[in-house]
Amino acid sequence: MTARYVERPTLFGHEDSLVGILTTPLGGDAGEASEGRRPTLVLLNSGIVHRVGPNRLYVVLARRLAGHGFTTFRFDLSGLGDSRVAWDPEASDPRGMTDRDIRLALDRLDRAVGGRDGYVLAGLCSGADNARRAAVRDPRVVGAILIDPDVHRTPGYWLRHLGKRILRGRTWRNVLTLRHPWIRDLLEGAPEEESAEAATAASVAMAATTAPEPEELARQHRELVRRRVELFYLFSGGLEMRYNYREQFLDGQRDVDFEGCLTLEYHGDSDHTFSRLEYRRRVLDAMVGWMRFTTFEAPAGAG
Amino acid sequence: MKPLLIGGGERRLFALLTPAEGPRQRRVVVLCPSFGQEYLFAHRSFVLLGRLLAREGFDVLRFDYYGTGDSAGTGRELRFEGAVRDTCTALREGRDMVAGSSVAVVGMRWGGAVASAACARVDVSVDRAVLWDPVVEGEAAVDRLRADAEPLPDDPGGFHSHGFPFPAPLLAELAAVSAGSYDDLPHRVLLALSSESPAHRELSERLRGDRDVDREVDRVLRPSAPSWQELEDSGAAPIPHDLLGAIVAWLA
Repeated sequence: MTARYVERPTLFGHEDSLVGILTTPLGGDAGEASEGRRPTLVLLNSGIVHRVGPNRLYVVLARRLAGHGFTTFRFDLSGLGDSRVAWDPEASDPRGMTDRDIRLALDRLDRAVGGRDGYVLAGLCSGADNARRAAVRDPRVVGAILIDPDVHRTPGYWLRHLGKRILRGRTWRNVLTLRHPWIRDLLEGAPEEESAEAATAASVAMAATTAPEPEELARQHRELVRRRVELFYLFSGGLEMRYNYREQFLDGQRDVDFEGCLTLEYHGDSDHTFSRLEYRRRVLDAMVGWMRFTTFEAPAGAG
Repeated sequence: MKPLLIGGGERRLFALLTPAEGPRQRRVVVLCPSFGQEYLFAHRSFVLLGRLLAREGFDVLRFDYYGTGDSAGTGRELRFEGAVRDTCTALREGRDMVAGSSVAVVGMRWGGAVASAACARVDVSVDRAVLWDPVVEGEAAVDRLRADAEPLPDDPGGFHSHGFPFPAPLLAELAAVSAGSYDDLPHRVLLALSSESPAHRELSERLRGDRDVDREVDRVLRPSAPSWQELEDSGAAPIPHDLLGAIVAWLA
């Protein structure tokens, strides 16, 4: 199979501590790029997985997009993958370092590809959280693909979460036989060794989200909408302990008018890393399709 | 460190050279990863091993086989035989990058069998090899992969396991891995284990008992959870610091 892309590894950042790979269409083939703006896609680490992405998803995505005329950059944040941590007094905490690394990546891309059409930041899980935060801060960002970012549960979430359990025969058996963890705790106090179900139930109730508070998130979204930054939110079934219906995101951001800048998808049967073929095909098709058919504005402040 | 592309034509391989720090040992160490999800979960450990070796004065070359990681090729193009050729490429590059150096190889899991096959074939004198939790019973390992896999379209004998394709030809190669796959290792070998099975003990005896090669085989066991498997739905695998330290100490 003849490759339709060119890949170049590169070092950048403080003391050349960051490793990235630039994927460009072969021979500068603009393909569809000649028909409109084609921002460069920047892929951020998902959790601690290195720049290839979960199950090499980012590599496949980058090469597929090159076939449609898009340039992609995947890189490792400080301390992840092959990137080292370079001490910087202005960015000594993890979040500060992440924000700095993303800015440096865009600076590097400005020199490499010009940045005329701006950048789309993409990430899964923590990568999505980082992408959204950077999108708000950097006017060069014209879009963001946010897969399974941390979210707040809504009343609709709890209705569905508890409703499923109420409808489960096992739940009622446990209640009637006084074995349900919540009833046991009430009667006897928490046991020394929790059952897996009890531990899970406790973790659902107690786990704190790292998402900004809904009001702050709404403020961020309004700022992005003001700049006409296109947003693609995609949630999987792998986030079931936090997200369990398609409209949950909209319900949690009711006061925000996205003015057509939002695409929302819910792949409820997919796991968090899209490990099965069908899940993988769907999420790749979704991302490639969104990049190809979204009309992106010029970066803010561009001439 | 220096990321680069090695190999030629369509078979461009991503590699990362970590130069020796301080007084040089004048030895290049080439790291051979495993396949599939094992590669992904063990990546952090491999990166750390490279840095620890560099601190001890080794030049380290880490690379991705064709069809894996950041190298060219799709997952369905991955083959054991291809990985052996890629390892030969990496061994030559390592030798050529640091002139006058001797060459050692570290192979983890499937990478151990790949490294051994490459040692037999390459025109590079490899004088030391580390087998890190090597797969010795290929058929059993393939069966474990198959356990929760799904069929691959257009490939009745292949399957897709945890996000990675295992085409039928690759599976046939992997199932054929056995103790005999390690017969071509160099004179100094270290078996570095996080857990030891009867198959590992047999391998150790077989390597020692090889009459054609005056081989010195060492073994180090540092019990830990596998560094190539996800730990309890955490999304990550542990880094076996003790075992890495033992590998570095042996090579030094």
